[in-house]
Amino acid sequence: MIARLILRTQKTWQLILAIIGSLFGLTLLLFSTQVYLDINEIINSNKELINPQYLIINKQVSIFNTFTKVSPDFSEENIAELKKVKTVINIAGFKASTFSASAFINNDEHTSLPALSTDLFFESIPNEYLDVKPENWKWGKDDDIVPIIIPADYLNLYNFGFAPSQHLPQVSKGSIGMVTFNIRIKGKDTTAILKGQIAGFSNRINTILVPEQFMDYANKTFGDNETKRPSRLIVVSNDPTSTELSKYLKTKGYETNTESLKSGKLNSLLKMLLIIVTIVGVVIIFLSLLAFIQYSQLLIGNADYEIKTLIQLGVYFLSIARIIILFFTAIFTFILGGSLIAVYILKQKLLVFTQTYGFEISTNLSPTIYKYGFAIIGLLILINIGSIIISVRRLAK
Amino acid sequence: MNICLQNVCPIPLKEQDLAPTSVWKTDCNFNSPEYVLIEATSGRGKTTFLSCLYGIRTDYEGQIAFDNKNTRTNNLKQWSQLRQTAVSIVFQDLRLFPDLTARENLQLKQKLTQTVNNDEILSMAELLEVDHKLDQKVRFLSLGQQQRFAIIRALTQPFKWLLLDEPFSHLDTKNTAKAITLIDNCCKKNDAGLFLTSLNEDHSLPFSRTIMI
Repeated sequence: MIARLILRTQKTWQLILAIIGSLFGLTLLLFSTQVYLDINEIINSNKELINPQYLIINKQVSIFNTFTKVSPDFSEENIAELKKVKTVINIAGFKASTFSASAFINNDEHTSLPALSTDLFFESIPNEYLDVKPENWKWGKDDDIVPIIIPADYLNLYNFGFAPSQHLPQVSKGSIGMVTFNIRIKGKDTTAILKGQIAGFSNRINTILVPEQFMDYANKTFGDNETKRPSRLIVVSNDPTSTELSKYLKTKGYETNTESLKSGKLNSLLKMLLIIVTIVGVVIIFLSLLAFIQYSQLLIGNADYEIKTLIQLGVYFLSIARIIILFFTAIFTFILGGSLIAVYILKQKLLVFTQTYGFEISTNLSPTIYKYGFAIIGLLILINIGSIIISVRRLAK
Repeated sequence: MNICLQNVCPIPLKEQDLAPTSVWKTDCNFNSPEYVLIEATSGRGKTTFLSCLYGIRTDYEGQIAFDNKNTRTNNLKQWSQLRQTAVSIVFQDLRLFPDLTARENLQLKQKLTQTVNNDEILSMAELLEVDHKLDQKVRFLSLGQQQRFAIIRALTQPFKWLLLDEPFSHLDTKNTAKAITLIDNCCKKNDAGLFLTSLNEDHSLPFSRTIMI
């Protein structure tokens, strides 16, 4: 009867609005968290899709370098320091050739091809950093032919830029691979002629690559025999978009091929979007909390006469507060249940959507969602309990 | 139960000239079952006196003690205990719940203190000739009927002191006499005393003393 006496004073539409508001806010918050978790799940189960990422880093070339001919290279300390950055998994330096080389084709050897000659340079990196693994990508001292990987862009440049303008035939990757050409290597006092062959095309590494074994051999045999420090590094990172890494690169003045970060950028854009949705959810939750506190104050204010009189008749103020608290706890529980159901339904819709794109995510809600839901509602209940007890107590005095 | 007042004076009445027989600014003791009539013209602090005793007003100087315990030190729990078991009141403005029926108003107290059963409520209502109004909402009752239900409500709990603030102001002589009989019986049953404030003196209760404020 006390409950009826107190609760009958309320304005139902205000309560309904507050319930709808917090139902909406909590659903938004929990669902965006769920989507975030699902995206992480997709990323983790599709590591090759996004992770890890390869970055090629070099120091900025200044006018100083132009005049001194000193290349801006990385010291051991530079590399060790970079390795300590959180998201960096591994680093390798590019080995550059310390000899001069040129490629040429003689007229008499391949009548179908014009005689040509071009100066060359080579670099090498450990095999595990390559995005292509040609079958013949190895070199021993007795091998006649040196396999070479060139950037895929070079072939495109030729096929779609150079060849049409010069009325030359376009060539396929396969046909280029069949051509062998001569490589002249000039050391300090020796010269050697070897055969070379294009073994593959790399999308990741923008240089002319030879196997590491060959590079070591050639530098030792023809080079000036001093070990040069690498001027470019290849960095493997599990999150190249991490602010820590990009901040570090910026402060050190290192340059990177930002183009390869596109998928990472997309990823972080998505994260940003979800963070915004989450913030909106938090704001709505906060506003509806305010609405509820205000509503419970209003309820207590409207029942001012009833509460005061009941207390004067000998009812303990906590028994009155308990009734109001139970009422709001029931509402909050309803909101939690409602939004969990809503999130579950939305998740099933999301499931259909992701499956059409071939991504697998779990059908049920993550335990984290339940934890968050209960935590938020628990907090709301506690805050509300506090505010109710305080204001009923004020009427008792 | 002993009620002891020591130099009590409500702050709003501090500057007023006080009658020599006044309860204010003096020491006095009341012991139940003692019937005390408080007489004064309007605005002299009769209701204030009862409110101070009942713990609703604390804006007074001095000390009020129930059985040697300063009531100012009571917490809300202790006050609710006192109001359920030791002190009952009929407010001047009655303080019934207008949207509940008369029966529901009485049941609130009944559930709170578990003292009387439905038959006792009915017989009290019959005695005061309001039994036919039990199931009507209080807002539709006349002031006289409301006043009688307020009296019944105050009597349906255990008490050692009954505070009556002009309880017969809307009753005719016949109904006043009936109410007085009921109140007297209940006080005797509870071995309780009473404070009654009134504008006129013609009450047939056996008052042990009369206080002018």
